Amino acid sequence: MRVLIASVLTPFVFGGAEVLVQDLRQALLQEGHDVDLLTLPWAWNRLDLLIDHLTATRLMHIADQGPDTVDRVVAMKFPAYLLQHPHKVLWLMHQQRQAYELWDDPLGLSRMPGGDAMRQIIQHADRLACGEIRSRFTISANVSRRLREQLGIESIPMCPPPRHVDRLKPLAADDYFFFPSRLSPWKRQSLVLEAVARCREPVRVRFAGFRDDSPQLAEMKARATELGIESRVEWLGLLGDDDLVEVYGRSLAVIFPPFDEDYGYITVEAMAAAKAVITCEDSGGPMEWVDESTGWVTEPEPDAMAQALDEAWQDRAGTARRGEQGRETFMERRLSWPHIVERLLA
Amino acid sequence: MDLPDDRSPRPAQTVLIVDGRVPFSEGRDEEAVQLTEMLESRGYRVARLVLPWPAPSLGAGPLLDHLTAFRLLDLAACDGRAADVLVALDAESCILRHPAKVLYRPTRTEPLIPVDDPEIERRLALGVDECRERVIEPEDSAGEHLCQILGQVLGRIVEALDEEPACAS
Repeated sequence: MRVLIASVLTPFVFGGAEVLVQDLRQALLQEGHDVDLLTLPWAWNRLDLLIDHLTATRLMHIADQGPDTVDRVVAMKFPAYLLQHPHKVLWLMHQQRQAYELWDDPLGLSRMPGGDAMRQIIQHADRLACGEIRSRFTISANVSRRLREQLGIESIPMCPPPRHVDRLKPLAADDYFFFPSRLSPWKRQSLVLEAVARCREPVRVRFAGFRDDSPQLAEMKARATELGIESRVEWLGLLGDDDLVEVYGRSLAVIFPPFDEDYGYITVEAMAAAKAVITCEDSGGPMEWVDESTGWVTEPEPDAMAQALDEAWQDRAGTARRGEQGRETFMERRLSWPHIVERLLA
Repeated sequence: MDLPDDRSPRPAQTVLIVDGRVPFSEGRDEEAVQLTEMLESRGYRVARLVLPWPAPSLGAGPLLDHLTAFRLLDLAACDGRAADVLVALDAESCILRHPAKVLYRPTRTEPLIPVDDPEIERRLALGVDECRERVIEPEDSAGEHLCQILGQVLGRIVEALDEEPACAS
């Protein structure tokens, strides 16, 4: 089958979305399909730009017959699913969140001129495009929940396996927690800094997953210095695959407390590595995997987070047990690329 | 003034390479990869954008739709980091909106669409005219030589942009 993956390009940015597209492409190839990748530019932070880009996407046609036939278009991000093709499948990473749950966020549309009109246009486009797609999947229960609650549209969650799943394993633990993620207010590195400053135990945290020229890095380092904890945090930047597996494996536990994550690869990778997860009540997907048997779920407040960090630091055996239980939870989920490919192309 | 080959570009200079392609056709991947490697070896950060072009089997209507779509896309304002320079590998991609476009055709290739329609021809010419520079060489030119020329062109554009109070459009 000839399958076109349609997503959105954010130039010079590489994160979980780009990893997921690459992994799907590889999985389709391994199952014997022909695959091509289409990434569309997207601008949404001004009304005229938003209208232009949505219109442009809708004007694009993909052939569904003749010598240039594309059998399936797998659309993964807004507004890529507005492309014209009769056999589109949705495997949604997330909606345009600034028009929904992030409406009132500092970066949300409510803060922008014409924001209300932009929200209406985005929601109308979502209803139009999702309505014309018969097979609707998402990457997590959280994304499906949002789609149902915000637009009344049903979908089936299909969680992708993390990239290093076969290599992640527990190693002899060193004295640190690991927090791998790009630097962003939504990922809440600053919450963890505030928590570390409140810990009774000599907690140490290694942060990774960001470029050394990331604009937020200097801000984070300055805050760590202000809090007097600069010797207890490390900024590892981007790690290669081998180093990433090693740092996961040697951590005491993994911290991942973002706000309303779509599908937290970090949580899944931590569990695959048999590491307890320290997260927050509002951290989103896959929150349904984490409880007191596999980690700590705290309020998104420094004191509550500090208490969890202290407990995990002090009770090493208990932390390891939660990690092992997390590994079992991960294995029970049976995340599988062949299964995902089969469902997408059915 | 030409940029000497050994002169480093200003920090974090970014280049977006763009071309249009019918899905599953070969397109200009080879040229884009060669150009990317050359630019990265000279310290540029490079991103690639491949936009869908309608298959010939779809007929004439979608051609104009896609030309319109290309014109509506503003590559200087899209999500992610804005590129200093947009390098278009075909005339069709010159229609995209960006203040610093370069048409780079290392070989004289056929256009994506046969230009036998005056309206299409007019639109394509408009986009090409907007390019600050055009680097087009015969097929037998050495790739490395062309890459050096492009490096010099990019340097000139960045210098010019630095001197301008605001981006031209």
